[in-house]
Amino acid sequence: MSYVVAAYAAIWVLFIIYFFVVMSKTASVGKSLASMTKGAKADGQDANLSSQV
Amino acid sequence: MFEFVEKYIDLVIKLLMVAVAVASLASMFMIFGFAPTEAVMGLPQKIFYYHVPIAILSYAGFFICFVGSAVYLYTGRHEHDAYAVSGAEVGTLFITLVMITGMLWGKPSWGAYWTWDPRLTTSLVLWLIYTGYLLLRSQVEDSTLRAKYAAVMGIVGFVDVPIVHYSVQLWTRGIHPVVDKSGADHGMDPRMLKTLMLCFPTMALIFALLFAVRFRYEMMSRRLDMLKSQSNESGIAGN
Repeated sequence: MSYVVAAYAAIWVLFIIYFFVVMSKTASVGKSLASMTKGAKADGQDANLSSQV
Repeated sequence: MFEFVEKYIDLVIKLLMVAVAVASLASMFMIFGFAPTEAVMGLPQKIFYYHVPIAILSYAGFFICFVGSAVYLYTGRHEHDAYAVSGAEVGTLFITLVMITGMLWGKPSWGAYWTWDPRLTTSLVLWLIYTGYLLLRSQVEDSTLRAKYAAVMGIVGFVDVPIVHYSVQLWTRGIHPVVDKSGADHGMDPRMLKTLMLCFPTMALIFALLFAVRFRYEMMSRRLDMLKSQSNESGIAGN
């Protein structure tokens, strides 16, 4: 029985760890992307304002 | 095709998460509540229901890596490299699990966690090839060079997949059983067969979910790198 429990535990633990590692890395990249996009938008607005001036 | 995948990937991941939860619960019920305990091997035989689908799906991961690598070398488009690395990484996770579950099944069945049986040895070689593939990717900084080197390794490494699969037939002296015997004489209890038939789509759904999240991460990180290099270039140009 212990071998079966160990095998299924290994499968689920590795799947769950991998899933959450990738999801947390995605969230971190998503945050950086959002801040860069905001920054780019702000730059664009500044450029527009300066062109208007 | 690629734009379509990118547009709907978040929705696909959510749907896959629900499907995986339902299918996993159903498969665990079938394994421990429906399938009979095998007369000779006893309970450790229940490892078989996940071990076999995981092994087949690891081949699928390496096949995606093979196709992605070949198409990348032909077209030079980076999204194909993203498919390749996602397939290789999920395939490596699956082959790692095949080896762990195989060892945990081997100990009560053969009396040893490991023997130098042809199937086990070729599987170890496959694991080493794709671990090497992932290590290679982590060591090359230039993204184009990294994709090219990895593509060559992804194509060459795939040669081992049919060798692993047919090793039981090629080297008949091994102790690993032939599990893909088809036809009416497979000798499996119908309840065992039904359980295995449910475990295949369950594992396929898990594979699809892990592949989708990995692919989404890869594309987002590539977009971030591109934005960073663009902002650096514009900063240099501004100066």
